[in-house]
Amino acid sequence: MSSNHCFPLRLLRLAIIACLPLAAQSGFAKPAPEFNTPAFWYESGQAALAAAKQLPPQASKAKNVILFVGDGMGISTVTAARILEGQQQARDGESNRLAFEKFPYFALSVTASANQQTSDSAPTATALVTGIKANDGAISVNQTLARNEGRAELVAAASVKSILQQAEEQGLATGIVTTARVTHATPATNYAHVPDREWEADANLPAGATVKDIAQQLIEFPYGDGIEVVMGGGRKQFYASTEADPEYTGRTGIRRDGRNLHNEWLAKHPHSAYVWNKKQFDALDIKKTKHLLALFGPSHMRYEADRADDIAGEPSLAEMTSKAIQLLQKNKNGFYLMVEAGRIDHAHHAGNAYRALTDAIALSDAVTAAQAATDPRETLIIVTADHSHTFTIAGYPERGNPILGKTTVDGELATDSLGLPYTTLGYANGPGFTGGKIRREFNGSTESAVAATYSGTAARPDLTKVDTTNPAYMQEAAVPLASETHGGEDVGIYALGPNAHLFRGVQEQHIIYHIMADALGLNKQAQ
Amino acid sequence: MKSFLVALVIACVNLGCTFHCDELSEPLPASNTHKLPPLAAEFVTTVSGGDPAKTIARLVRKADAVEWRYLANNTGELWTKTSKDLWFYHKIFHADHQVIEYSPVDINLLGMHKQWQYFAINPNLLQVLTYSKTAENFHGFLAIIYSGEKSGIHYEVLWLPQLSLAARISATQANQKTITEIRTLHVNQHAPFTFSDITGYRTIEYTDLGDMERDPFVMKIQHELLDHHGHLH
Repeated sequence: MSSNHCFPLRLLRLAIIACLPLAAQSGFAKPAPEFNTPAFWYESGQAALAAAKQLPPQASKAKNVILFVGDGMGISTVTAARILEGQQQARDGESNRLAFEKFPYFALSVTASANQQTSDSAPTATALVTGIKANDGAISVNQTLARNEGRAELVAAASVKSILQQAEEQGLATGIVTTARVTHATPATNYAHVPDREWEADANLPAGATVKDIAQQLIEFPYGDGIEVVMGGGRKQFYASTEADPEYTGRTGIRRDGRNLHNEWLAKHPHSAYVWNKKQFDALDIKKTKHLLALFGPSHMRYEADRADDIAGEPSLAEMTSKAIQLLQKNKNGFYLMVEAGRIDHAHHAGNAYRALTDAIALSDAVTAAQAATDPRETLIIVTADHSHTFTIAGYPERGNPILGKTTVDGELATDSLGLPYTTLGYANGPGFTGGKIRREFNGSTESAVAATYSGTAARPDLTKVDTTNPAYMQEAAVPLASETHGGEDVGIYALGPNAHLFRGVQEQHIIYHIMADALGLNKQAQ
Repeated sequence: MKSFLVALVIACVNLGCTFHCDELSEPLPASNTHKLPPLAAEFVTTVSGGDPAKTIARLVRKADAVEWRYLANNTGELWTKTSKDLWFYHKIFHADHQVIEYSPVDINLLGMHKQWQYFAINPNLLQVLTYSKTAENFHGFLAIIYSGEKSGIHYEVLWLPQLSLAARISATQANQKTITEIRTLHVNQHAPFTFSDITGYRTIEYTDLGDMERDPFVMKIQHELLDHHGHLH
């Protein structure tokens, strides 16, 4: 009898421990002994099972949809980021969970595009927001269009309406937040239609093209009352090559048509604001602002790890997300918002795990901010990636081993067949190639790169004296490429709120659009 | 031997270090190009022993920009200074009318942020050499000879402290000798060559290379971009 009375409380305690912050209890880099026991593992598994059985039925209609995209955030990135976040907080990293990993519903997303086994961000983002798969480089146009087709009428014929455009037509508020350029592939798929993702400004258009460049399409967006929130980087795509950048002396815009698009944005929208630095961002009066354009850098915004170094200051992804939701919530019909952590991808391309992981953690913080600002009964939140990378977590490091460190077992450095230590994190290809003895390592004392130390004829450098946890460390890569590539394996879909239960199993990436549109009651064929 | 030759040529062709020489025996890297006079210089590198070779490189320098142009392969490197002493770096492919641009963030990420100072010799290399003697003035400028050995290579450098520029570098290993020296020098005056006009060139940001897997130019120059950490010899 007494045990029955106690069960719910005990269950609740175990469920909390199992599903949420196991490591928060420990306060150590390695798990506290009382949790790392056979009994604990069994009981926490039982608790997780009970919690899963008690999941309430999900509503099917959402007032709001927030789509988070971690660009290049494959499963290994999520795993490594969760461990890093836990270890940075002096907790057990392995049992730490990023905010979105606590969502109740999960599926795998197949990211192959219409013509690619391993895709780039353009067709994958097109799949996310239009509901169809497309070809490489395609920004919300279908696969019938050649990548170099610049004739406006043919582009229009192949264009596929995005969920953002549909939402505007239905009177919802809409927004885009990214740490990349706002004209970059993933955000661009929401509002633009071009066959080549590179056509971000008129200077990038091929000769003879009549289609509008991506920045121009953003400013001349014809649906509803216009996009309410656009925040990110990519300022130079919006003003002329004769106009000086306000932040970087000697730098200019790149437009050849002489237009200043952010001034046009202000002229087009009453009660609108344009900001380009943190001070202006903080000073925004949301009550008086109906449309917001924020361009915090001439190109991409800073990595989270470097954000404090920005000249004019930049808000975090979480701060931008909170501000965007505040503004969008003024529309009582609801809203659609895409939030992209665009630089996870860039850091991986550069072979730098530290910045990729810290940007993934910044995305998790943004999800937390979104959850705090919304009601899960009326807001569908989805977190996914457009594609993966060749990033791996390898070896047999012991639990609690620093995720950015060298692999150790029982406190001893594990060694490869050459007798050399190696890192847990690495890449299948990229600039971190160590063969050919061309490898260089960053030397913190001289703040420069120096030739890596190779022992004798060893094909790999000796990492014994290298601090691989340094933020500047470039992980090793097996195949030499100037830029590390995307990976073709599935990525995760994490979902919370109305229609979230429809994510299950292994699903094609474009279902994400269909579930979002269904939740918002948007029917493309009816429209 | 071939790799030694390549390393040496790269080390020496990139001639011209920005150093203050408050103490002649200990040249220090310059931290501010505003303290240096604008100049243009043409360097010739001659390699003797083994396969003889001769290459030409041109340096143009002013307060907020430094450019090297390599005539042999028609490429260049341009550093431009922006706010807060941050630098942008451009790898220029003149024949293709294409530029790869590295932002201050990229430069920091790749550990390249001091490379604008690497005009001729890695400052770390120059600093391991020792003061030898004061030489005759070079084109009217004070000249000092530094010499020493590193990694089995004997170096002798004719250093112009007022310009933070090496006028001559001799590097000897076994029977191979590489000499890089100024052929023409123009300080505070008009020169027959100046900064390249790259306004019509296509600019690709380094950050975006990863998404340009099908771009013919990127595919072509892939191998030239692998060593992001630049010329450190």
